[in-house]
Amino acid sequence: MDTTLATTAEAASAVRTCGSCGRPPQPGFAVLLCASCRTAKAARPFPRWIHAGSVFVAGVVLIAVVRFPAALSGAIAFERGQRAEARGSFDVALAEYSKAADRFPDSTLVIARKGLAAYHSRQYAIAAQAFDKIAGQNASEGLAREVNGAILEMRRESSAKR
Amino acid sequence: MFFIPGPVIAVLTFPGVIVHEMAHQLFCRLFRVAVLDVCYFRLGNPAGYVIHEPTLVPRQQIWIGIGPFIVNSILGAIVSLPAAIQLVQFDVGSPLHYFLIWLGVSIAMHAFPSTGDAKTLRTAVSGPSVSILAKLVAYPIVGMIYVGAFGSMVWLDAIYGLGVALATPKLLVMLFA
Repeated sequence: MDTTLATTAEAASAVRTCGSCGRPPQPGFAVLLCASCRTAKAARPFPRWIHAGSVFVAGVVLIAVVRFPAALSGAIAFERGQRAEARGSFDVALAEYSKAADRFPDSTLVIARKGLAAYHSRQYAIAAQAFDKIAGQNASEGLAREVNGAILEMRRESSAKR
Repeated sequence: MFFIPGPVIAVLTFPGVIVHEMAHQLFCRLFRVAVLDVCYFRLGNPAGYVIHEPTLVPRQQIWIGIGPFIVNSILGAIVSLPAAIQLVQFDVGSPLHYFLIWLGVSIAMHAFPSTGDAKTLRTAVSGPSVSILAKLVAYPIVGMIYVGAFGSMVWLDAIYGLGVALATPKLLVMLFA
């Protein structure tokens, strides 16, 4: 009985070959593969459509990345403007918002903040120019209230001088 | 809270599914683990899969399991980075920017390993031959994967995707300002 069992085990071990090519498999692995077949299966290539898709996406990202440094510097200037505005340094805020506005000339938020910084630093000509540019644009309720309040105040001061 | 069937989400965010499976495959390649079958995307559950041989050491299974979390998060942030500032912060985006945001969010929201990944990892580390240290490392990861997978029912994956894609540029700006 024991002999029979041993013979069966030997026979079973004798047929252990690489599932892919029939060569002796690498020991210690659950899936029977020889070293070269294991390497080949581990390095299974990506399909062509994935390569094509990756190239397309990389191209699109590259186009956007080229413009990114300018967008980033504009956003940094805007952030610095907000910080300056929060501590009451409206001249600094105006300078930073102006840099941001050069980069994002169509952004209602940037132009509005530039106008508000100009208003607070009493540079009404710049403020009026900024507010004219965004007249009729959609903005958040808070921003619209701030801008409209500044415009009203400037009108009041202007008529008081007359 | 509204419910959208998983297959619909998978179709709408298919690039994320593809990148998720590619990440599993990449880590298999890195650890020389034989890949037996791959499906990058299909209309079904799961939407994609990678079938690989059991790993020799649990550490490899952990890396293969969390590979998509690393790759999808980084790639999602990179892809959406150039567009997020213009579109989200200043609302001055072009169609290219909208495309990049969709792509970035799609990729990042598939960063979470699936419950299938967690199950594979749990099986790999539950054997008696696995060291206590490996179990101590792996079980919290398995737990987090389950939390993430079940969290997707309350849009946690989408929130994470949006966070990665949209918050990274904001952090970058705050860092340099």
